[in-house]
Amino acid sequence: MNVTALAITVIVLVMTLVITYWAAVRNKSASSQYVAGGQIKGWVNGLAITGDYVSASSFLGLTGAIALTGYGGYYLMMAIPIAFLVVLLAVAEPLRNLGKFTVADMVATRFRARRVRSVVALNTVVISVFYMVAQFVGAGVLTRLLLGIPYTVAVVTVGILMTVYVMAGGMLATTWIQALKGFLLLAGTVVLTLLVLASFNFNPVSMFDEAAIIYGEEAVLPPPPAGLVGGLDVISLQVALALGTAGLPHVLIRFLTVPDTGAARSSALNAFFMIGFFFLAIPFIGYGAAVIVGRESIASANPAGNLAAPQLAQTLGGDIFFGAIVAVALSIIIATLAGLVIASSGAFGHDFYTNVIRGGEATPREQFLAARISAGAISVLALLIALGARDFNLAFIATLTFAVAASANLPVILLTIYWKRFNVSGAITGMLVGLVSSVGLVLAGPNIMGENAVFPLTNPALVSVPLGFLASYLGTVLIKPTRDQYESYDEIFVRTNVGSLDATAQTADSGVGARRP
Amino acid sequence: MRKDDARAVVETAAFQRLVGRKRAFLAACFVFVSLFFLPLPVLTSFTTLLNGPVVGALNWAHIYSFSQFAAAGIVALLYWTVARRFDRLARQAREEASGSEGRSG
Repeated sequence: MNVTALAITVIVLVMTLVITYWAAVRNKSASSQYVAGGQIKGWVNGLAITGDYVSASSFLGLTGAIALTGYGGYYLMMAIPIAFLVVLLAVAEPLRNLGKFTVADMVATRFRARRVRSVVALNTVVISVFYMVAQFVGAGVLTRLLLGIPYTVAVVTVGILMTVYVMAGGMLATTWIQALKGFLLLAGTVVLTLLVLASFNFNPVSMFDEAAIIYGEEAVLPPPPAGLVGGLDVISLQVALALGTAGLPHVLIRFLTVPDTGAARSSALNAFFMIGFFFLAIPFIGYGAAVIVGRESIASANPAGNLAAPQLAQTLGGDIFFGAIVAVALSIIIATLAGLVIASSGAFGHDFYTNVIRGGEATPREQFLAARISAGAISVLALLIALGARDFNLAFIATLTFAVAASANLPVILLTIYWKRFNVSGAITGMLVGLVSSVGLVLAGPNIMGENAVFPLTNPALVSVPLGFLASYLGTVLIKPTRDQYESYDEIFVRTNVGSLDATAQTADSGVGARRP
Repeated sequence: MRKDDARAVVETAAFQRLVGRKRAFLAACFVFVSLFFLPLPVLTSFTTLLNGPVVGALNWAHIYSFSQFAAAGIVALLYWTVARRFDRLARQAREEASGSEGRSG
């Protein structure tokens, strides 16, 4: 066990508990539990989105993939710049103007039907719980690899910490923990990238040259074309990455924590630049690790290359830097998990309990209680699944998460905001077809069926995203509209573009934002 | 928000200008993003056209990939700039709507 790494990790964990204590004193309502009272500043939220969005698989998995396979690893992050453009340009501000605590709130602003809210909540739970299980298993495996702590101990410790953060400190604690993690992640990335570049006299070209000399030219070339199916799979992955981000509930609810449209925009822009910088640095860390640490050494520590970044840190900065990078990697998992718990507890506590079961009639105290109980229940559920899923191959889960988000959530979010004729029937058919087709095609694909796969692509997004949009369209035009249209489209149209018309809505920085209704 | 309030805003000249400009901006972004970003995965996964070296071992595939971050950054900053104009139009729309409401009321 590496004592320095363990000590730095403990220091970071103590900091997160101090944040939680500070937030717990202030966490007194459903609003503070779900969206930190909507009072988070744009730059803090940008940092928190960075901490929330970048998962351990990005930091450790991508650097490892590029270190071991070169440009092939780049396919796993190619569409990230577009992903955040979609969030910034099309989703962040309207979501802020229409939403309250959850993604379902936004859709329910237009469609009162409880069944619409139920289906959005179902999507949120499916996406978030799957992603949580993957993060838990990742935490267990990483902690064993990095600190020598057994899987079960690691998973249970992470589970307890996460439950404490969310149940006691709610979104306020989660926000500041994610912001802390975002900061640590960026600081670690800057230092690691500078150390790599310094090793090549700040000439990145010589890094590529050395990689090509040591491992042959193919080390820096895109993998040879793998036929129609191989090519379509790459495109499908890019569709999932580009469109899935704007449908991930734990990312979207971050835009509900800010006070106005201007803050939503600046959060998205800050997150865009911070996340963009991080992903731009990943190839340098990956190729740097291949040249400086060596592919053989990376693969022998972990066949998937997951330890490339920590190994590089050890080589360039010794024990202390290794410890810092390990602490960053573990804090990443905990921060992402906390965001996922809030998103899914909102779907249970706010959407299912308060609005569907109680018809929106629960008292503030009952809502707050429901929020906390849901957070605890979701944490325990994901923890139990993770303990049982220890040896399960979870590689497909990230694929599934982005594909479901892109196919089931995004079409309905975009059409709710931008399409005047969209109705309840279209929303429900779109979400269900998107959900069933993305999950079904993953189950019928090579990830699960291996050589007997009925569907040839590992990523279903190329098919399931168009299906989600098509079903939304056909449901709207073919099925007779119900009377569940809550507000006229004019009201949605105005709120998405200029905010609420309440007198209190004016804000200092943009003049158009609105306190949520 | 009452239905009449929303209608009053929709009918203002400022709101119509705002929506028109927003649509034009988003449409231009959509076209640019499709034309600039889509060729990268297509060219790298179906062809070897981007394998040629640019400087040393650094090839076009990497240059194109890195340039996507720069292009996306420029679009994001451009949006930041035009969004301020959108904000002004939105404020104007609210003022025009409340003005006409005041006259009619």
